Amino acid sequence: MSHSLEPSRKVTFQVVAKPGANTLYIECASPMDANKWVEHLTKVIGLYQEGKLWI
Amino acid sequence: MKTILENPANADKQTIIEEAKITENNLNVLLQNKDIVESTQIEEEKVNAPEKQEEAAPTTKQLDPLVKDAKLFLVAGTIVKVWDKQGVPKEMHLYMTYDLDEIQSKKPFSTQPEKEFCLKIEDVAGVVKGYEKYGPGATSPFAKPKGLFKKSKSS
Repeated sequence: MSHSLEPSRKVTFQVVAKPGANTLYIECASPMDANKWVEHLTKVIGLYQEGKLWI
Repeated sequence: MKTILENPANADKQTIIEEAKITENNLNVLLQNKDIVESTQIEEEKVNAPEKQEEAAPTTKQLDPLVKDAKLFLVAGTIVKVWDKQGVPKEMHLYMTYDLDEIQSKKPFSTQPEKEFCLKIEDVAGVVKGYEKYGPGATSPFAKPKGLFKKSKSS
């Protein structure tokens, strides 16, 4: 019996950290979930980098 | 007036009444002036008020509904699988703190976030979807056989 490698069909994303911090590798249950995470995190991080994250 | 104050016994009734009237008039004049000063102050405040409103306005303007949605989603979080450095998945509740300062993850039904899977927003370089490498020399555990690539039982 042989084993072949196949990628998981789950949708994943990475929150890439700067040197010195741990990158988060995340697997979501659904593509919609992953899309939401990526979209919203990108938005919030963009606001933070622009100095507009007021909350 | 001074003479009356110094020697009240020597003062006549008429002079006292006259002096009293004068002081009453002076007080009335002062009160009128006070009203004028107060009214001018109120007018000045009214003139300056729009500027103050403009200063306070950005807080209300910044409440972008899209950002609000993003905040609600991120603070609530979801149950996901977070992969450690060795490529072992752990089921965790991923969420952001209320001030959007840190991405945290904790075991479901646990109250304590696990430091290994926490990341401050200032340390985030970017968000990448999929398996792509990010930046020069970056490696992903997804590319490893023990990571996201799972062995299938194929004959």
